[in-house]
Amino acid sequence: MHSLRGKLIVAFIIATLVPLGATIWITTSLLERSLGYATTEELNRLSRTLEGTVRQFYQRERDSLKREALDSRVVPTAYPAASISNWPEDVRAFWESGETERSSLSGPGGDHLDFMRKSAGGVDVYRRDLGGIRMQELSEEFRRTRELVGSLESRDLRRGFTLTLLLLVAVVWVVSLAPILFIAHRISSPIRQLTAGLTGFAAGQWDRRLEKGRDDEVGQAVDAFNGMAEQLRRSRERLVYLTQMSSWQSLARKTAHELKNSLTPIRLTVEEMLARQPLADRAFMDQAVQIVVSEIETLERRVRAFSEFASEPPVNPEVFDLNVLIAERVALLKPAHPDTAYTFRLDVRGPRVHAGTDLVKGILTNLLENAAEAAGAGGSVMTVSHSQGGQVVVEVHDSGPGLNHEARRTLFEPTITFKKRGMGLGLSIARKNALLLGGDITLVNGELGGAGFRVTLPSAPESHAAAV
Amino acid sequence: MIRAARRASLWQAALLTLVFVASPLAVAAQTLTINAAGDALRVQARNFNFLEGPVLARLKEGRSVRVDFELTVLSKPEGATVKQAVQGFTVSFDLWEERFAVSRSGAPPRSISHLRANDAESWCLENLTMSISSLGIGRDTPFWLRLVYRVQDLAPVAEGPGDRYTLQALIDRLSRRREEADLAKSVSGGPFKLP
Repeated sequence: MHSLRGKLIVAFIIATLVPLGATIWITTSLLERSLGYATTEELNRLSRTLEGTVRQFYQRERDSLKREALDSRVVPTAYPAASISNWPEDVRAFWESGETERSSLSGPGGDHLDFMRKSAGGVDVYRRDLGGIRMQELSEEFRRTRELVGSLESRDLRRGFTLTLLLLVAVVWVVSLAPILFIAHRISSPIRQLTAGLTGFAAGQWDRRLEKGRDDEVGQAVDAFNGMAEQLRRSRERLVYLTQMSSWQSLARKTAHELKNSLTPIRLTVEEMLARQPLADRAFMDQAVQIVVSEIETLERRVRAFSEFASEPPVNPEVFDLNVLIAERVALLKPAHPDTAYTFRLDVRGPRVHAGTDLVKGILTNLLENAAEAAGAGGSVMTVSHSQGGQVVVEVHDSGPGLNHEARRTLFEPTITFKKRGMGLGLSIARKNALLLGGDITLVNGELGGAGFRVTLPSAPESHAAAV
Repeated sequence: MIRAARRASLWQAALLTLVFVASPLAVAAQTLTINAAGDALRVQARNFNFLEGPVLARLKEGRSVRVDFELTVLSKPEGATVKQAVQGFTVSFDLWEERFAVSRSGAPPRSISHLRANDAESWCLENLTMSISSLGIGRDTPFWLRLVYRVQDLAPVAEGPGDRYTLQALIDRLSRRREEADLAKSVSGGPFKLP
């Protein structure tokens, strides 16, 4: 129950059980009161009293009729035995019974009382009107009342209502618990995912990203996590790259210094040796010295390249129109590669960059030069510019052969070259400078079939952009 | 405390003794006798009363009661059934006259009214007959009898709704008290020989 889901469920249970309990208590109290008005005991007592009263009435009437009959104060209806076949059913039943006298009800609804008495010649029936009191109907009414009382007494309505209420409430509560479980799962699932993502990120899984399932606050949190993770990954990569570059720069600086120290005396010594050589032997010596000097010059170029690579150029940021700079760099490049076609897809708004102009020029020159060389005669180079997420993007695509997997992996590492000319430090220097400017260079899919590079540079703030 | 425990044991012993003594007396009190009228075998059961207790209470509520009698001829006590006769009666009570009326179901139906309780019980037994010739028992062959009566549906009829899946039906079901089981009683006797 330490999980968010468990806490949500516990919160639901606590939040619903208390009001449910109160509702049940109020309902059962009201039920108790309402059932108090319908007293079965009262009905039971009344029906018993009525029964006793009616019986007393009947028996009094019966005894009175019997006395009057015996005193011959009432004239009977005589049923002679000779005409037994015409007797009413009840008279005949009495005649066939072993009784000497019998009282029974007759008339519609039993509103008359008959006293039957056997005589020598048949049966005498004495009849009395009960004054409109229908005894048989009263019997039926009493039976129904007793049945109702019995039916009510056979039930515990208080228990029935309470159990029904509890059962229905429990069913509704359990049914409502199901969507809560679902909702709790839906709420806690992305948070658990976020927690797992953060834990994984902390453990060094820099490429870990979360899937955005929806657009609510949780979705925004997932977006924020993914953005933060991407930023951290890039920053880390840059940091690692800059740290590596720092080591490489230190090595290059030392190497350049040592080579420079050795090359100058070697060159002077060789030239001195040539000067002192007799003229008869100068032909071979000229050739040898020329070779040595040529190699020394090559080494000096390398030393200069190493020095440039090792140098920390000053960053003097200023705001400029990137499209203008692109056009200028391409114009400078064209004479060196006249057979290459140059195309543009530039942001017409003229994206404003806030960076060191010299460093950006160097970066563009390097990328355009590389692209033109890769494209070769008849090939094409395309330059793209646009703004994206507060940064200005420049892309350079060529129609060259592209880069293989190994080249892609070690592209920005220094002293590796894939060209006939150059030192293999150009891309390393360009990326280092881009990082110094607050941007970066990355490899992208080439739109012309060859390689493609993307340079991101910080865009100028709105105030600067407007001022230029 | 020991004295109290001893007193309790004495009470228990006395109660058990009473039960042991009373039980055979109670059984002996309900004895069966037989008589014949022509080919009809009839039984008489002394003190075999059924118009009492809950049955009588129901009758005095104005409702009628259905009583089914079952007379079984056995070859020996708890032995195989030789023949069985079943007869149903409907008993009602005249609330004002305080007399019983009984109707015999089946063919031919018969009914009688203005009876006292003992007379009504006797009338039921008189109308529970068995054909002697159909028994297939010789005059000297002993047989045993078991008489059982069952009173059906003693509980008041709860007028619940017909549909079982309504709120009212649910309340009705949950509010019902424990229903009384059908009342039944039996008495056995023998050996008998055909008269």
